[in-house]
Amino acid sequence: MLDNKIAPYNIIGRVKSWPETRFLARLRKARQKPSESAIGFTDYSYLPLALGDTFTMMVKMSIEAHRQGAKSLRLYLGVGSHFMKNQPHINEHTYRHHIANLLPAFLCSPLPMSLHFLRRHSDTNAIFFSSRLKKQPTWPAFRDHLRQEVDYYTHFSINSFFKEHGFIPKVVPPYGYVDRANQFYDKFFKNKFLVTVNIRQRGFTDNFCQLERDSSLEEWYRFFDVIAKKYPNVRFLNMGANSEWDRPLAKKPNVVISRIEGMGLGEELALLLRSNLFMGTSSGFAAAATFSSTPYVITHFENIVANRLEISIGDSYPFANENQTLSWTRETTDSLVELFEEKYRNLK
Amino acid sequence: MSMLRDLSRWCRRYLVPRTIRNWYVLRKWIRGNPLREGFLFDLREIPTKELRIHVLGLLVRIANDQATAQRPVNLTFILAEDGFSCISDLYSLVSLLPPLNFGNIEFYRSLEDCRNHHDDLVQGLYKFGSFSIEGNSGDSIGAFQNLVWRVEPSAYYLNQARSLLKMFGHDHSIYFCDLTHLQDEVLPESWNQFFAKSLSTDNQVIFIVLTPPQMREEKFVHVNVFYIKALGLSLLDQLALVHLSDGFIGPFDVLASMALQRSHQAILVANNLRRPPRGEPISIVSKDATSREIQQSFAEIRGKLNVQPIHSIEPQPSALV
Repeated sequence: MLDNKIAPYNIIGRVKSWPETRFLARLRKARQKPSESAIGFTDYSYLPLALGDTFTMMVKMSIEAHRQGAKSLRLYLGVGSHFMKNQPHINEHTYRHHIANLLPAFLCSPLPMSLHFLRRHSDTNAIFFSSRLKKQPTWPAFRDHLRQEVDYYTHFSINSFFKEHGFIPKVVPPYGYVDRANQFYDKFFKNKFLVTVNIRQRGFTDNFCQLERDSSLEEWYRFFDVIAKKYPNVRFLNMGANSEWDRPLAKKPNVVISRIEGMGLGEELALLLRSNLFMGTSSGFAAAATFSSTPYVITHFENIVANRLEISIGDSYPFANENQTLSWTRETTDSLVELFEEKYRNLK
Repeated sequence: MSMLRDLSRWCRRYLVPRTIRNWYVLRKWIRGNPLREGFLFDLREIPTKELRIHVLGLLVRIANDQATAQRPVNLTFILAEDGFSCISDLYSLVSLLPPLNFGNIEFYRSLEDCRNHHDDLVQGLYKFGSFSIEGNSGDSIGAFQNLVWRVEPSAYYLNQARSLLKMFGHDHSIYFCDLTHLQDEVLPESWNQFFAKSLSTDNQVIFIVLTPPQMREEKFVHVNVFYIKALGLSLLDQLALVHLSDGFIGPFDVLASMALQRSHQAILVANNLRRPPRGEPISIVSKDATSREIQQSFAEIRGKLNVQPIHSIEPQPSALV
């Protein structure tokens, strides 16, 4: 049994609730005090568990917080087994694996945050209801959550916020991973021109979706060879799941594969934000670069998504800086070299 | 008069039903208060390397507690900045234990932040008290050994681990060797010699070795050693491998706890060992042990037990009670 002696150690407390009857008085008092934090909600019963969408959602949450004057973010994740009905490859047996893998991405929140995992639908509803009563800013909106119709992928609200304020909240290196990433950087990339790379290879994983967005590995391999000869000071860091790279990549002298070195998503994201340039297919890591200040070239960008991003084919994002470019064509070795050299000249 | 009648009708038709409804709904919501019972752990002062084993020990003690075992308990962790690099592992550990025991999980950067948030929440009606878990943190290192039930990773991880172990050597004894406590870029000579000598003395043993990120293991190739760092295994994958392998070598951490729960043959490296566990198939070596001492301990545990490789047994239904 747990006893109630004085703590000799730093385990603070057992949490107890007040009598239920005081709820209304407490609510009245709570409503008088403006909240300094916004609530961000990711209910995986209808939202996708994916890296790119996570970043888009986090930026939208931060925008909502900015609009309402909140200074911090409470990230609630609905993660019980019964939540996981949305994606075929994530089910009650595998969802823990996918969530644990994705967690470092939530630590990139532009605002100081706390993380909350909810295992029951009734709890998510309780949190939503209470924040509604308290008039706390939330994303998604209460009505959207009830309808389960949340705009998590378009850039309409992001673009309108940018037009209004001239900036968007940028993702930051994942909280807690910076030191390890810096050690990794010092070991492999000190005094080098670091290019972080993500080559989408969803066909190598158990999540076979939108395979037309995958890149040609051969083109990238030739690109690495060309750069190795022309620019010996350039080092590439290949990021992404362990299954998404193939053995020939490990033999390239100018490429480091982070997962071989025991690094994970957290270190990769920290290095992406520290790197001189990001190059990669339109995918999860590209979304992280999109909402950062890191110079990037995102290749093989789908024409079909131009409408939902409110941009014309051939353009870059309205909030991108001069070194952030979208390439709307499929990668070839020549196009990759050309895009790289253009950035290298500007950034060197 | 008509105004009073209207007011009376408004009260009857609108105000009273609405108030009753609100009261009923609110009470219902409060009963479902997601954070009404839980534990708060301030772990900011615990070194990051020891965080996992401490949390495991705490979870096990809460899970064993009869008072809290009846309904889900919510967990709130306050972590230092470095500690946030472990949240994937902490989440995995919580998910490893029976879900009925554990409800929601929260991670905060500071106690003030936590207090503010609980004040913010309408349901956040908390008192922060103090309590101790018997003894000091060293006791929590008993971890899985203290469980009243046995725990194992889910079938998803066990199946992957089973496939890997079959690939490494279906007819060999496989020992999981955790060397992540080592600080250098090179494998210490004692371990290098131990692996080399093991091949000549006992060629039926295969070591699957987990090395720290900074180590360059390609320089220390042995026929009987597989380095698994490059596989990018998660904590639950590693636990499943330990669960199914025949023995364990490494420091007294989460993985060792799993091995001891399975009564595996084990050599424990006395790195941060506060209270050495006792048991037949366990041997303890110091962190600076020579290859001869490690070899001797290994022969000792190999001689004491000669069990059938566990991964060759058909999968059993979960042993959780």
